[in-house]
Amino acid sequence: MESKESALGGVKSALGMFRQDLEALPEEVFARSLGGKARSVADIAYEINLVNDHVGRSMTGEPLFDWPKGWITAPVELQSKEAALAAFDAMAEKTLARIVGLSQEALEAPITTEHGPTNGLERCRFLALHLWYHSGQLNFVQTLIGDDKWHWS
Amino acid sequence: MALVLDDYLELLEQGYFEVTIAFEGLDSTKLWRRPAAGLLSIGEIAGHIAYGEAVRLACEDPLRVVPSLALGEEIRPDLRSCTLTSPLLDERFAYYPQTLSTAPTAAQLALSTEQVATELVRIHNAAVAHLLRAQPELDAPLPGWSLPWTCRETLKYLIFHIGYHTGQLFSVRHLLGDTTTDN
Repeated sequence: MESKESALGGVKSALGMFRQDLEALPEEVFARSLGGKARSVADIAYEINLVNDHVGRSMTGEPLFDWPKGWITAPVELQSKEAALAAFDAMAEKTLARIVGLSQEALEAPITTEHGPTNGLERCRFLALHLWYHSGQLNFVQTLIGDDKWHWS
Repeated sequence: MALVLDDYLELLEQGYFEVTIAFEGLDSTKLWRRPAAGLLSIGEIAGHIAYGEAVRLACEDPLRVVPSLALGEEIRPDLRSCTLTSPLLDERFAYYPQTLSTAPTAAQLALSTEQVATELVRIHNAAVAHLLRAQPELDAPLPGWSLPWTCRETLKYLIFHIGYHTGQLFSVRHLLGDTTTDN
């Protein structure tokens, strides 16, 4: 079984990469949709926050909110770079605090999600995978506008 | 406490489950089409994913100085020592700049969406089987790999790698005008 420190480290690393990718993007792409078919950068950042919050709640036993129907889109007030970054930072801090607040035993304890039985450690791994998936998309947007540099330190 | 080999392989399987979804409903005429200047096609990204896993898990020899399309020569895996062959296992897929600067071969362009998706999974299964035959220790150096990477670090990287590029496969499809089942 994975340790709490390892799980926490994985989530923290993925949050940090996503944050750096978000920071590297210019304001003008936050509300732009790829090909008119994809979520915008602001939409992706907002979905990340919702997923982090939903998963965090399932890990701590806090009440869950209903998952929005259809593709996630950011509310108007979170479509600027400044607002998207601030919201991301707040949820990242909350997510890490939730994990820190759980004991090893609590992270190993079975929980049930809409996808079946799991535990907090597996949920942490999902959070990291989800962040990596969307980091790839942020880097794609970045390359599309002519910036093919790595922004991870 | 740490994850065991089966945990990492399960996570990698999840990545390969998700990546196959990115090919669902994709017209083969779009497979090798670059969606914009500076961006790779779905076929090229698939080749990169396959190359990245095969050279780490299924090569017999460690890194060596090999010819490089982009740099003349560089230190990296020698694909000639890979136990697998496939149109997707090509040096041009090693890294973005050299993929961008060279066109796919006729054999690659002839592959359909179904063939590329099938080939990607076949290479993954064969690469994992090759790794397992070596009975790797998770915290020992990866068999056949001379960089100071352990098997654990390599598997963690591969899990990251496929998740990262799967997101991009969906992005290519969106740029090509497709509506996808994931986003």
